Amino acid sequence: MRPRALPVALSLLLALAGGLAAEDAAGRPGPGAEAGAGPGDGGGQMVMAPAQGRVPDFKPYIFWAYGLACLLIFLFILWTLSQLRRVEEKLDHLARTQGERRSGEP
Amino acid sequence: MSLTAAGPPPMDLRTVPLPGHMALGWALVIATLALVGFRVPAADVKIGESYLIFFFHFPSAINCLNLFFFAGLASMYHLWRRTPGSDLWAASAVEVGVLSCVVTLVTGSIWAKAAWGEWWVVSDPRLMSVAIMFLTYLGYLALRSAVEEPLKRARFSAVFGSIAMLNIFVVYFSVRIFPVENHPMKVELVDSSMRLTQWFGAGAFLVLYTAFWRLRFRLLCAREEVERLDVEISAVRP
Repeated sequence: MRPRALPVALSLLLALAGGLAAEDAAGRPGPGAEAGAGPGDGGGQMVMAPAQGRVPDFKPYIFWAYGLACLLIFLFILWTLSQLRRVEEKLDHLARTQGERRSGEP
Repeated sequence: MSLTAAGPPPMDLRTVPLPGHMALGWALVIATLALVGFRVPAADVKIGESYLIFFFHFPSAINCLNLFFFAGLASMYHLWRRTPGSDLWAASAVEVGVLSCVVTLVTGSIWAKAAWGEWWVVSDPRLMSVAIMFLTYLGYLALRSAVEEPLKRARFSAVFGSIAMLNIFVVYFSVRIFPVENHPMKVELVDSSMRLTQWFGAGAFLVLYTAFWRLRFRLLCAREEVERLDVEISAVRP
């Protein structure tokens, strides 16, 4: 089996699963969340401070991070497969031309 | 299709069937998403919900370094043994490494916006060293497409790939070497399910990216074969 339809179908599934999982995870309430503190909390500079009493909505960030990652992987595999198909067609054509040339030689 | 022109690869991944390898990679990445969706706590104590991005950011980042490291090793092997296969393994590893670097930069940038309020922090050594590494490997790909003669291309790329490998150590140690820090050396994950998801994700992406690596290798082999046949046919043309 040539690696054609399988990765495309699976990457579509991945994109769907990515969106759903991110939505679901972001929607659940978390224990003791102090949303807004940056990863550099341990001694680093922190750009954003949480507004008083307001928890920022991170859902769009999570959705876009997972969505774009899946989309990039999906586009990469499509691009690779289309390139592979074109090169293989050209290779077959050249091999045929060479074979015909050889069979025509005395 | 004949792949003999490329010679034996330094690591024989070809014994594993590619569709199965790729399907396994996809399945593991989907399983990682399932862990993120249903297993890990929805928010971290320090950084809230935004930490969920980490489970795609970290695996891509670590595998980006892995792929560039493999590319460096294959480049050095090529300089030592001059086998065409090692050059193609290096080139295909860089191509997939660039993909994972883009995923890392995109997810990292979105996470930075969520956690720090900025898409990009110019003073951060980790961010800037990754950006430099990314541009270096784009340069590697540009070099490959600029040189037409296969042997010269392979030699130049191998020298470039061996030197570019230094980037990996700069990226890894940048947070320790330079005093300014936004990006942490490591994210403390208190829950065991978080750590499990982190390393499961890293393994899943490793499997997926090695499948991509093999696919790109196959493509580059086919291209080399096309170039060889083209030269052969045009040489006998009256």
